[in-house]
Amino acid sequence: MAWEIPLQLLRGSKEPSLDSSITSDAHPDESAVDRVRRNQRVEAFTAFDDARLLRSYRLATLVLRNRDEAEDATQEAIARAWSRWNTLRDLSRFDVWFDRILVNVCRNRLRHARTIRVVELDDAMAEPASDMHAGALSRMALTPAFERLTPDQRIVVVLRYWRDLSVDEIAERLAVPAGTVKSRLHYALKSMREAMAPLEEATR
Amino acid sequence: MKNPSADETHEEQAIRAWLAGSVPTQAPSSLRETLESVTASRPAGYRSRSWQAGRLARLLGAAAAVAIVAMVVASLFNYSRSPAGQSSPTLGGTASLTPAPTSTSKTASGSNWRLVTGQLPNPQPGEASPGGPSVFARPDGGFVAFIVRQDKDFKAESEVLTSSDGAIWTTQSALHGSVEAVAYSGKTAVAVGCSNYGGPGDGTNSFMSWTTSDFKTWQSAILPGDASGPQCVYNVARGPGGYVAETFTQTGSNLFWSSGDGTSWKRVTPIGLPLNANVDAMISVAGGYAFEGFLTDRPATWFSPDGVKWTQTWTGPTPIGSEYYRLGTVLPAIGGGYVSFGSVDTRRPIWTSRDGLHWTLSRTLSQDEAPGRGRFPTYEIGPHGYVAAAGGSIDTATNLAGPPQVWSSTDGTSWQLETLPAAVSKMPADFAWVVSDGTHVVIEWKNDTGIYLLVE
Repeated sequence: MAWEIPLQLLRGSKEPSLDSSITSDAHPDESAVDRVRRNQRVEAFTAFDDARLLRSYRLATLVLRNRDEAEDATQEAIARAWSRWNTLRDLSRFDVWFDRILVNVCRNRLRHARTIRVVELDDAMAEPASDMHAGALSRMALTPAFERLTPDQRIVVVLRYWRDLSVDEIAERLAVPAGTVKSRLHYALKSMREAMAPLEEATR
Repeated sequence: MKNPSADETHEEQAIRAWLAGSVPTQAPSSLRETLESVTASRPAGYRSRSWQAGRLARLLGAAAAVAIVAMVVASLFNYSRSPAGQSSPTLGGTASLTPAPTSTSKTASGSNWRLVTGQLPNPQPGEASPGGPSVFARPDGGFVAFIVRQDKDFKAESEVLTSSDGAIWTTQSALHGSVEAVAYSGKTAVAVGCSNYGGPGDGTNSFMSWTTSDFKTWQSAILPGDASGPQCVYNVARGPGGYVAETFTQTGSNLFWSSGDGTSWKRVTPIGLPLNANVDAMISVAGGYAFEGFLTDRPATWFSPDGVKWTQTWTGPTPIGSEYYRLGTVLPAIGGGYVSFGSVDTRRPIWTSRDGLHWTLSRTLSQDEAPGRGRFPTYEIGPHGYVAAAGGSIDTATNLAGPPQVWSSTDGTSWQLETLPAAVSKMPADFAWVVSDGTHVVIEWKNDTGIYLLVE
């Protein structure tokens, strides 16, 4: 049964330090089961350590290509996840569940792309591009090639090539068939390849 | 990151390296604050002092009230839609709807806002996506709404409804596609959009137009061009050269089409319009068309007599620090000419123009003086002056998402917050849009439970 999974499975490197005002905030009409579930939710979110936050923020940044939007999207995903806790049936699936919420928020924001000012992210580089060829392409071709992708294509590209997730793992996060993920990846790569080709030729 | 797989192409390896090189090194502190505040949402009223109010408005506006809104709305209103008003489009049918559930409030400015629920179908029950506006004003009076639904393959269908007053709506027809903008020539309406926005980029999306004179029957047309990717036709204007439609690509360039009748379109290559010109509005002005937009870091306008040859007519002020001036939606001004309520990141410039082509910075309001602090307000000119609407901000007492807010102004500089029907205070809104046909004003917002209107 889902609720019997030990909460320790959810904990990151930090031990949760629950605010006493939260755990003691029981409503008079709240059943024991409700109280347990609420405390589980608090524990799960408290175990949302810095590494998880950074990973989520990075995912949103790569999909949206805008740090301010990514910050808002991650905040929104946290709030949505909190309010939709009852849709998580298996606590051990927290990461998959939260990723799905986050990419859905990113997808919705991309549908309002006119309000998103795309900014160059290279000034926030964590590490340099690994080779000269990739480095040249990144500045000249990859950014516009990526930006012409559909929201769903962006998401599968980031999950596949940054998160290193398999097709099946991506399908699970997006709640779509594996074939759909393969199709999106195929068309995303095709689109990016076409956009990159002229500049790639020029840099040779 | 894992080592790239040996069987990956060099493009895939380049993508992998580019993504790895683009990630931020640390998460903003606001995320931790968000987490702490969300998990500490009881007792009511608790709030971290360091909470960022602006972000909070968007954050909880989208989420925290979701769980309760359905219950609240259901308890407040008695939905009484006829079958014709249900989510399945009824071709050519007339919805014999019972009078819309309404509640009203008389405001100090004399406005009499009525809350209208249950008249427009819920496009995507249970979905959080707010989508864009559905309601458009008609220059001959009244309104038309396009309620867009998409299936799992992103194919869109728009249910078309019309209303003479914004309160009672009648289903007229359905279109295969998503409508983004409408232009008129007398009784003829030309809508533009696309067939399956956001689809997989496999060639199934098309730039589209639909033409009608009665909103019951439509003649559809495909505009030439590659619509792969999240692309739609976003602007259309009618002028001396006929209809001119425009969109932008994800790489920032503009695509233009022209048509004499709204059904036969040809791609045109704009002459004199820089590739990096971004559009905020495209309107018909005396003798031609105006492209109101911006170039990299400042607003600018262009004029064209035919939609092909463009001449830059104005360049706006340079940025203040990292804040960029922008024009906004262009409206007819009270007393003649045009007005545009634009934006800098933290302030709200008011632009005025005699011809729509040359703009003067009339005044800059602070966010406290202007409508919609921290939100994306929309503006319109109504029968009693200017009206602005925005999605809700946070209610600091309850931590719940805020309802839409509405402001009015007779001069564009002094804005009064309107008093709305009490029931609105329980209804969250991410965005709110305002339109007017000159007689009535309609405010529209969406949330998980449906589309709601305020009519004045």
